[in-house]
Amino acid sequence: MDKILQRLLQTIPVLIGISLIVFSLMHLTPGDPVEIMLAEVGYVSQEDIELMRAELGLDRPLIEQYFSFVAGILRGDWGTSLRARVSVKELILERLPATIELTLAAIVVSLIIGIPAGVLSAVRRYSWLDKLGTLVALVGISMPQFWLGLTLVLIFSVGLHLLPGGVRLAFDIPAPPTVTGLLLVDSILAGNWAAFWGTLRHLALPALTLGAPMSALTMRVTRSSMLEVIRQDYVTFARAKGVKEMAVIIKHALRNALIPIVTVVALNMGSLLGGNMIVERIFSWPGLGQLVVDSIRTYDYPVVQVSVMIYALTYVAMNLIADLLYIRLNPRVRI
Amino acid sequence: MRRYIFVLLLVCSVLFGIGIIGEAKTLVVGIHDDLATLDPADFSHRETEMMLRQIYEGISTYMPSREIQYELAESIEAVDDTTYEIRVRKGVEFHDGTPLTAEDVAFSINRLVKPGAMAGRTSQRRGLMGPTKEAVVIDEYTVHVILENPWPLFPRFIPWQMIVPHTVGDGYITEPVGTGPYMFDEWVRDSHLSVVANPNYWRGKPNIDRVVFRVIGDESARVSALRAGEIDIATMVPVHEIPALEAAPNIDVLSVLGTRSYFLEMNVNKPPFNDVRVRQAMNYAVDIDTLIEVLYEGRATRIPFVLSPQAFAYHDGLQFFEYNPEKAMQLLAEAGYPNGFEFELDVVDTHRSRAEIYQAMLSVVGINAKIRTWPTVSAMRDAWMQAKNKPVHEQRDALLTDWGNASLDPFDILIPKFHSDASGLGRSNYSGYSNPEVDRLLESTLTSGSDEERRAAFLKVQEIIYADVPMVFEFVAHEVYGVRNRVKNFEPSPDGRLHLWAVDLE
Repeated sequence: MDKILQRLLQTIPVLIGISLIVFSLMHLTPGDPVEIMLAEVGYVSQEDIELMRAELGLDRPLIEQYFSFVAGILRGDWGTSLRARVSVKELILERLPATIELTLAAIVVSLIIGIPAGVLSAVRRYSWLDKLGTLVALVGISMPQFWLGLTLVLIFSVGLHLLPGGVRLAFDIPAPPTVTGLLLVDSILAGNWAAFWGTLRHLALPALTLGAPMSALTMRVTRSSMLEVIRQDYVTFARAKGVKEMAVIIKHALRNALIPIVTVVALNMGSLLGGNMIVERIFSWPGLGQLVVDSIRTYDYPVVQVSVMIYALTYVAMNLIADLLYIRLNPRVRI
Repeated sequence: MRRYIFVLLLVCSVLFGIGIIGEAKTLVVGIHDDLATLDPADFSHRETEMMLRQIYEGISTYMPSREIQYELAESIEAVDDTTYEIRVRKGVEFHDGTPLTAEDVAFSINRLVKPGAMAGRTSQRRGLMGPTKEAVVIDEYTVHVILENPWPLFPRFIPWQMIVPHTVGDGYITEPVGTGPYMFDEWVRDSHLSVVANPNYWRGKPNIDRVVFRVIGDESARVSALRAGEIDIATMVPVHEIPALEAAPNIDVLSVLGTRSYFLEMNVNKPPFNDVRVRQAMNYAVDIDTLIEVLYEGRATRIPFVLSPQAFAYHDGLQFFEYNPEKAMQLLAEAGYPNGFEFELDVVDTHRSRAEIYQAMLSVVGINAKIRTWPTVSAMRDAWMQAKNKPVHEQRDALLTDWGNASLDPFDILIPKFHSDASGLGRSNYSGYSNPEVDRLLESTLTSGSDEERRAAFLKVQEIIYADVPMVFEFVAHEVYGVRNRVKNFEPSPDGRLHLWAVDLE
């Protein structure tokens, strides 16, 4: 328990450091939101620029701006977007569910593909199946996501007309009332099966794109972990006892092999957040990734600051969860 | 086993089947950038205007032919030098059923020009209202717009603004209610904006029941969505995708001459570009026709100066610099650079390939362009503006840039680019060009009344600047749309407006 608390406390300096770095990076990069807003709009005088800068609070000393930002965060006021003129909280909260849904779907995809493939590879070690699996995994990890995403769209949307190449739900299907913001969950709650299938179809390509590198990773980890476990005495004993091979693999071997898999998956969920920025753009996915990219492009300081903090927080949380899961799954490291 | 396959097929058909059946007459437009906001007074962003224009209307608007057409005005007339009278169209209703009156028009104009009128903030579109001071209601259908000084451009600038109901008060608009052909339905940021037909539109109900603007930032994804039939119109089609779209049987590629001019600005105060012969040599050394062919597959129109051929007072007597490397080398030798020289060429990341073509062409005449890439226009601008206050040898050399002249009136490209007052009128004059005669003539076009006087001044200015060659003059790019051929009556506009009222679907 102390360890958990200690880990939680450790995140505080990390967050302070991140906020400082993000704040200074954004303000030190050349470029100016006011210039962007007022560029090429007819008569703009220096006074107009000063006026807008003052209205947005950008004329105050940087250190003052930083502290008012931090004070705002502590009060729960995340500031207002310079461009959309809406509270940053609203902007981020309305997008978070889309990103979460896509990320979870990508994890599911990576587990569904990665674990069985890894097990198969381990059980049929050095067979052509294993070699094929290794090759596919190598390709999966190395493939740039923008390429994979567009290729999948070309095959499944343009070529075969099987799956849609973007947005969360077709425009002609009424969306279920928002409860969790996760469309799959909301449509189940509403009993709206058309929306459920629609969402699932729309999720397929982006989740596959986002999950591909991770499924490759999962597969490799599963394979090596399984190989280690399969050689253990208790597996041999189970076989000797006459337990069916399928049961040996799943009940005795896989369960024990899961520990490193869980750790790796949890640790790498952070990397999915980075992939989101690319995948969301290709698939018109209204999530956090697109927001961050757009905000950086338009120098929307408050939005960038808060979203990067959220990314950082997620990353830290993933690490923490990975540690905790490890403890939970592995009785040997109980504290 | 067979039973499993059957079940699998059944599941698949359910999975893929749903969603194919669409409702009648929904037009989906794939756009490259989302709306910045739903408030028509609070953006400077072309795509936002493109979409909000479906919901809101202006006093007047620009048609694809560049003609100005009255929308909510029956007439706009100058009463005297500093007053315009707007007669408001009668019988127009907002989407909520309230009738449009002079009060709404005056309110909308005041909201744009009065500092702090929207939740304590000033409209980003105020710069487009020039010296407009305020609007006053004269009677139920008459508004007087009062200017601080004479401004003949008012009728040409008012089409950029949209009219909102006066009931919005002093906050921001989040639930748009306009008078336009379509009514706001829903907006999911970075996903789509949906609008539905306004049954009581004063010109008559539009042919299409619903228009969805789907945001697809990635250009390849946008083209794929068009080919997959998920969208009907794709904006900003990249040149390299054109052949594939032209080959597709059910897709037309439409293009229109845009309003954005491209050029290279040279720092005329810093050697070697302080010598006019060097600047001429630069123009002779770059083969703009080839550049257009290579980069734009011919979808750009070369210009001898910075104005679009469609612009007001376009000077058709100016000649293109022919591609002539020998002449360039000769001029360089005369200027004292027989072996060429080296300079730093600034460019934004997205235009790097343009800079590389320059680099290759300039190397032929011995000029070595070192390319410096900037992440954004704003970043590059910052660097230039900061260097401008330094001694000449610390200033920057040259940059590749462009300027949108959406009004197609020379004033809003010639003044920011060539007026010498870098902190005021000539805010984007990177070259440091300064000529008192040009300043005087340009200022006169802001206030002098008649078209003829302005035309004469602009023609003279073009001749003077052309002779001084502060730039390498390039081209006006075309804007390319991919359109499924079930879309009827769609005509693209030079300024990116989408006129969808008359558009129909087969």
